[in-house]
Amino acid sequence: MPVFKAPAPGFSVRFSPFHEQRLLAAASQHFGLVGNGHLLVLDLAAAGPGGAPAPLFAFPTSDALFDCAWSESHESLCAAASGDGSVRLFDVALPPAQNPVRLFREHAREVHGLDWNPVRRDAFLSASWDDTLKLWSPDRPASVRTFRGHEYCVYAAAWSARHPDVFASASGDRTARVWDVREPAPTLVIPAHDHEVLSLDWDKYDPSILATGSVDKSIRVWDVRSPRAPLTQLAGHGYAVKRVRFSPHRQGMIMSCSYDMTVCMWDYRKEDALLARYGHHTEFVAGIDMSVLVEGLLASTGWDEMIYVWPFGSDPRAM
Amino acid sequence: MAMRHLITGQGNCAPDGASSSNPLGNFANALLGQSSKAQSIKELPGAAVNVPSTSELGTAAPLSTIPGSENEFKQHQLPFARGADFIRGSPAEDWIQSFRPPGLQEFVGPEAHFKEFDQIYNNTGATFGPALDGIFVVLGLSMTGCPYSSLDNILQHIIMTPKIYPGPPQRVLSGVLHSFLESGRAGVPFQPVPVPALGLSESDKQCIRDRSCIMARHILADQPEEYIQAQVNTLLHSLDINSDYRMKGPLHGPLPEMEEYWNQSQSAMRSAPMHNAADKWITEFGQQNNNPENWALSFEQQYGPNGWASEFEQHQSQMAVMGGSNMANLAAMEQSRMLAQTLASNNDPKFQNSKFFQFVSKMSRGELIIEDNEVKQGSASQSSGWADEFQTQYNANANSWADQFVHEEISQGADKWASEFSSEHNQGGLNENWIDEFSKLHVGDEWAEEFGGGAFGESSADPWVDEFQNQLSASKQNSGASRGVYVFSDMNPYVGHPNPMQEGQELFHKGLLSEAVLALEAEVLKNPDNAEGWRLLGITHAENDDDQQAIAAMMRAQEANPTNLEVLLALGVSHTNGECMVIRCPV
Repeated sequence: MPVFKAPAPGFSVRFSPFHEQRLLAAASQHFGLVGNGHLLVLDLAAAGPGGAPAPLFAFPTSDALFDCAWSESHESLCAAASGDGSVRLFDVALPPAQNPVRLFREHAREVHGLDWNPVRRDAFLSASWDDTLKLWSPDRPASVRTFRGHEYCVYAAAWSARHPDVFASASGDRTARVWDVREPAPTLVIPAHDHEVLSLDWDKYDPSILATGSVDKSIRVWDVRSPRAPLTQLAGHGYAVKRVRFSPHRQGMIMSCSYDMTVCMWDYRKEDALLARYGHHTEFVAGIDMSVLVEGLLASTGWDEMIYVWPFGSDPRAM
Repeated sequence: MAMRHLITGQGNCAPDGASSSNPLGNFANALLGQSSKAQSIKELPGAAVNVPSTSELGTAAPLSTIPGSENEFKQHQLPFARGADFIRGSPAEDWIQSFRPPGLQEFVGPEAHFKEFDQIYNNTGATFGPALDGIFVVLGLSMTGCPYSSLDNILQHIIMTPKIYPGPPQRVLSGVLHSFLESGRAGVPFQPVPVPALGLSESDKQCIRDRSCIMARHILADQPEEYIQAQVNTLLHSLDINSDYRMKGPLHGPLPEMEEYWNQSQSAMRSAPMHNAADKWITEFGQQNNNPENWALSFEQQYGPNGWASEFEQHQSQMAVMGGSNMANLAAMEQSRMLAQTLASNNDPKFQNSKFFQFVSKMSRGELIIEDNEVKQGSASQSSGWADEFQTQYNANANSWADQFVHEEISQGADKWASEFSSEHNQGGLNENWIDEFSKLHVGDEWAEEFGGGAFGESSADPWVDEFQNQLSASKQNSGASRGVYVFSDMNPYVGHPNPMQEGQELFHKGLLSEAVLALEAEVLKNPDNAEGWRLLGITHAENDDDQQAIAAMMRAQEANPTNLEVLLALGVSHTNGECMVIRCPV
């Protein structure tokens, strides 16, 4: 069970869609409040029992990194969302001297969320605290689209798993909005929670289902066809829910992490939804991911600077 | 590997993914002087540095040190072209070329500008942590056919670092942030620990300010907004960051177009199955709102709306002063909305909040026992710098007060005490009659001792009561600055403070009562007619069980604003507490 120590509190992890053993991680000094950021690529196979292996790629940045995402089109390209409002593209196959390969600076405030389009593969979204989302393409110098509509910080964006032009965003204005890239205004506004919505994700198997995680400690699962009320509400976290992810392998399975330092697995279709709770982190858990290539493989990172990778059902700390 | 290790040369700098030599380490060693403070942005000649207003870029990068090759990180200037050559030959170039939009020219001739940078760099003699990132970005931009054809635009996008801290301050910063998080989680108010100068630049401070505000709202979701603000302000103060409001306020209140959605979804929610945990949380919260109030906390509540109103006004004026950037306006709107909502509805959570502060302040007060005019240290305080601070402050204050009393105690006989009393308070034309009347009453030493013990004597002597009232009215008729019997503390550190009123209110909220006293005294020294200041001062003294000062302050408040009912009520309460006479209530 690989365990990595990051150089700073971890904020995000992503499994590579191309390499089973590769993990991308974003970390930021001083809990992201100030200081540098680090983008890391880790090789799971390199982690032996003898201690933390050196990362394949490590790049410090001048400001905090809040999120990262792999490209779906290039195996070595990845993006990082920075606290200074920029989105940076890195090519991990290139030496550090040539990185980042792209710098997109348009947001007026911190960029907090990134998501790469898994269907079209040629574009990605950034979600920023300046209340907007922007659509980018790596080969275009400026954003392709800007989406305005939120009234407060946008924390996360997630592409639909099925529709190439549909995505949703989670914001501190307590709404989740569903957008179509062809329209400037949101298609649907879901008043998701009584408090800030920090994260959301689409069900990979049912294109109308999405889940939102909020500061009110709950996760709500919505059907966009009837957005007045959630399908169900998953409660069990003791503090704000930082991220939610749907499983790419099992329908209805949700992974969530929270400021209560736990990672939880849920099945929202069940009456007793909580499947597992992992309390391996000693600080806020800020980033989670479920591997697409390896069924059941989970990763999490937190402000305790640790990155854990483990298969569902086992103990993340077991060596 | 941490950037800080790179820069300070600590530990073994294994460069990331590069060769076995330590180019970055050498670079760091070469560059890094002893100055670790980040400096403000330098205006680069001919470069319009377009800085977003809310997240400033760091300082100027020493562009002269652009590495031409991956192995030579020297301080001396390497021409930019060399880097380009390096890349050109490599196979990576092809991939990079694929990114290049058609029809864009190569970069030539930035060297001239870089020479200017060299000059700047050499002239200042300042040493910064290397802007590695900025260097790479420049390379990256140029290599990949960056669309910005002018150097100005390139410079716009150069990332100026450094926010790199050397060892001790960084550890301190981490420590402070860590304890802030811990306190947030534990629900305990964050205790400010004095922190050495961290050398944070203005942009850093703004970063911390903005982000901690937003993140604090995530962590402290249950708490009312003012509690969160107080915590964040504490954090910022301890880091010596000005907590002027320029942050993004929270979004409170449902958006108008959502009203319908809300109503429908709320009603639908109730019928939807809810899990137990959510129920518990909601009912717990509801229960806390139903606790009975005691009179002391009714003060908080009464004070609450007033206090917030004055703070609100202060915020309004602050915001009016600030420039009219879009962000500021938005923030102002949100802040005012938030405050308005707080005013309207939020007594109960504040109640819960203040109860906690009450508890904490009582706890620390319990550690200080005043016995027979001596201040005795209680058992060792729970390890908290705040409690120690409180103690020392309290000692300082109490000592002066207690000393005064000791002096008076020594005097034999009531009249001597009375004359000392009168002389101390600059009464000037104090009625001799009153003293005589006073000594006529056979109160004697016992009474003086009782008084020295901190409690007023039994109010059985009506003539004395009348005389006191006469004296009260007599003193009221005396015009002049020093009326009443209020005793100011000497050595007040808040006297030069720009806004002691707000400071006092904040401190009061936090439960730092003797600090609040000092701040409020500074305020009323500045504005003797500030009824609110006097009133708050009186309440603070009452909280501190210093009823004499409380009464004195309240009387001043009443003079400043005779119509204020709360003042009268507070006066009544304090007097009742002090078990002295009941004043006439002109209601």
